[in-house]
Amino acid sequence: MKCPQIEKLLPLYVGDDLPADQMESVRTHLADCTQCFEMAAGFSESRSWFREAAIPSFDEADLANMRASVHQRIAEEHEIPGLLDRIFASLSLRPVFVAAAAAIILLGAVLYGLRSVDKPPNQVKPDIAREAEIRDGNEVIDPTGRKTPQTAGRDKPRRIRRKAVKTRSDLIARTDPLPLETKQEPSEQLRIELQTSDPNIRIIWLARK
Amino acid sequence: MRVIDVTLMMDQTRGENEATQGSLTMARLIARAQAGDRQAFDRMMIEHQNRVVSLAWRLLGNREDALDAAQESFMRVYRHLHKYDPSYEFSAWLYRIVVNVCRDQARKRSRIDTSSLDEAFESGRLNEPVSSDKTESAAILAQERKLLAKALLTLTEKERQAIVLRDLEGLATGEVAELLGSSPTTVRSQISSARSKIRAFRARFLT
Repeated sequence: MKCPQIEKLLPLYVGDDLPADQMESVRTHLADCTQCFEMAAGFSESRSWFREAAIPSFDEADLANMRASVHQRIAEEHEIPGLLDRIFASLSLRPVFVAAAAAIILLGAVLYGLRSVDKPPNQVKPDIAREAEIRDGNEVIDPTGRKTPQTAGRDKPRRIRRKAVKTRSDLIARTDPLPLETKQEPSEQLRIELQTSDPNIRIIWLARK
Repeated sequence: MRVIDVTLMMDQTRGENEATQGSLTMARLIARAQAGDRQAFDRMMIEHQNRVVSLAWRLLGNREDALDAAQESFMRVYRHLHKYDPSYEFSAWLYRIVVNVCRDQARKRSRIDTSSLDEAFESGRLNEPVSSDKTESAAILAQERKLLAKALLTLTEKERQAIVLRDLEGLATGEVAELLGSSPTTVRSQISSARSKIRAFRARFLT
């Protein structure tokens, strides 16, 4: 090998980091080449300087402080509370107060639910205006007897749907003698509306003239 | 001659026994620390603190950063000790942690521009470890270390890690490669480059 090649290998040669055959080649070259030999000596010296100067000396006090800091951090990590505890701590709340508040909210929700169940339904559909849709072939007969063509769900099976919930007698009993409105429908229909005592219930009777 | 040989053999055997006993003691210490024994963990720290702090200082070139890195390294050891497999060498596992911590710290820290090294020295950012002994030799050594820290800063991060582990910690090239997650060829190239730079630095400032 020539000098430029050897010079490239010298940094590794001084640390014995070359394969055996290359180590031998460099060694043979250095025995004959003064210039490369001096360069190798320079590498060896700088490596020795690097190794000797890089021995740090830390005071025992520094090391003891470092260990103490580690122990302190470990202790802090062990003392970290759970998520709920942290929330309580951050809000300065005691768990018993929070539990009491939760119980009150729950009780309120239950009472509200019970009240809703006792409440009568808002709307009563009159039997008189039962909106039975009787599907008859391709036509639907509404309560007035009109036949309207079916537009959707043609292939569905025949069925009878009833929405009436109250009997006629019930409705009459509830009905107050309120003004009776009679409207003349433009399409030869008579429309009779009865307002019951319940403002939410109005009886509408559609009939042919 | 035979007497000397026998004495040497006895010394060698004694040394091996001590080494074996030392590793056994360390293994027991680690096992106890894994079980949550804080005293055993403290003993383990005492056993390894010098190597850890030295390696951190060599990688970071700064006294305060080295102590911080050592502290963080031992914290990571504590947190992950349950994952340590005793069939592997503990010091290698520890080295890997220190190297990773130093790498993280170097990335977090704003990198010191090599062009402003003198300013860094003046401002005291590059403190070298100093002994309480204020003798002349200690002062010379401190000066040498300052220069060494300066020399280390001329290297890239990879070069510094490679040469510190190879030349200062005495690991084999293969071990360095494994530790750094690199190939032996790459590590050799980094070592070669680092040695050339250090030689050039020394030739410029010390001769």
